[in-house]
Amino acid sequence: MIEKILFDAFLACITGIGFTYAANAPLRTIFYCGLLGGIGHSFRFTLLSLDINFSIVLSTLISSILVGFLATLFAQNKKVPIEVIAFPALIPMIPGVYAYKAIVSIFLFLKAEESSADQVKYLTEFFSYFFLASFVVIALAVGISIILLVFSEKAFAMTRGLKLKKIYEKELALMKQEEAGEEK
Amino acid sequence: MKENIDLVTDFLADYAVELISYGSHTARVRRCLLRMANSYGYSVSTSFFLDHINITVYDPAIYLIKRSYIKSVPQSHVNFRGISELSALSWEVYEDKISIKEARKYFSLIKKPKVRSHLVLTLILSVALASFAKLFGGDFASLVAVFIGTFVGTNLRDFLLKKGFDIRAVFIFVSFLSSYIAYLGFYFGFSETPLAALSASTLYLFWGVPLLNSVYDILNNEILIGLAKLIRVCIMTLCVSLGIYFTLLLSKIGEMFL
Repeated sequence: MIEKILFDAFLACITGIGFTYAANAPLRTIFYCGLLGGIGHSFRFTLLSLDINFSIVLSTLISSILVGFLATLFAQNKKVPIEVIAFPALIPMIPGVYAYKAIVSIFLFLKAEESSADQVKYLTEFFSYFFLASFVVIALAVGISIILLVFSEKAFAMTRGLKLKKIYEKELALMKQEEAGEEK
Repeated sequence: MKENIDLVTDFLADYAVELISYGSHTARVRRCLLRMANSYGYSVSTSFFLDHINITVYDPAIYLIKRSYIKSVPQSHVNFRGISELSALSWEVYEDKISIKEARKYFSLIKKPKVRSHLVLTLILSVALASFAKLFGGDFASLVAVFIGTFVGTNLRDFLLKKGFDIRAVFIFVSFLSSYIAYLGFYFGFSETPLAALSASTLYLFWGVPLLNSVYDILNNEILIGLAKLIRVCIMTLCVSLGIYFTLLLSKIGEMFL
């Protein structure tokens, strides 16, 4: 079981890193985004595996809150907004399979004979998958929004103290040289 | 000495447009604008729409001194580095009381795109999608199919968008292409998990950040702009679904794909 959870975390970590890089995140945050991606997905996997009757929607909501909370700690340390670390870490929890199954169901519904039993079956399946996918996405968004709202004052002050002078030291020196040259 | 109101309004409008186009939620933009306007001795009021903003900067002591600008917001890639640094710039203005000229200097540096290899970006994204397919229970062949589909899809998407094609048309076409490549792994008999491959194949087109922003905006009482963002995400998701739908039409699949 632990092996499965760790493997799940590893895969989600790679996915998280990929989406973080694609979202042009600061390089110093990529490791944390991947780590949180792994923690979030494997935590949901664990909740679903345990015999506690948690639905995927509830598990996603709890995992999203956990990711948001941990992201707050990391963001404070790295002086970036919470969403910079939390958003890419949530992407691995997107319900791709349910969304895809909803598309296939509507496809089969349109193909089936009119008013047949098959058509009703596919329509039921479409709504089932569609709502499941939608609610998982809503749970993801609501979970992180709860954290952003609870820590709203803190969230807006995370970048306080991130000195741009240090980040752009070389570029600023170059600009100064150019300005001095123009004045001469 | 107080900065000129024209300079302040011009800078704040440019700043807001940039921050929104980088994918920031509305509350952050509002907060950063107010922080900077107050530092320069003014107040600011902003209305947010999907493709433009209306910003009014005024002197709270003499209400007749005010400027109002309307600026359009271009669509651009999500840029978390930009959001972090622009947010930090607002604190720099607030704490170090830097002039508009100095703030403009930082602003132009933040705006300047950092050189990143497009090939590396697409390769990393393709690996990420392949591991998505593994998360969905895909076999090795489906991982390879998703990797190739994503690699081709992301490059084509960026190329077509650069050429100025409509983003919705691009998403439909690219979604079709990526999902069809993922399907080919099954068609040629290499893969036995078409469900995992097709489910993961188009996820790089999913607008995750705008979706999360839209829900946060709605919950944070920015309902109008939140709903507008949500509708746009729904339209883009529909385009991706259409692409997969075309793959299903061409592949003549049955219940085994469900």
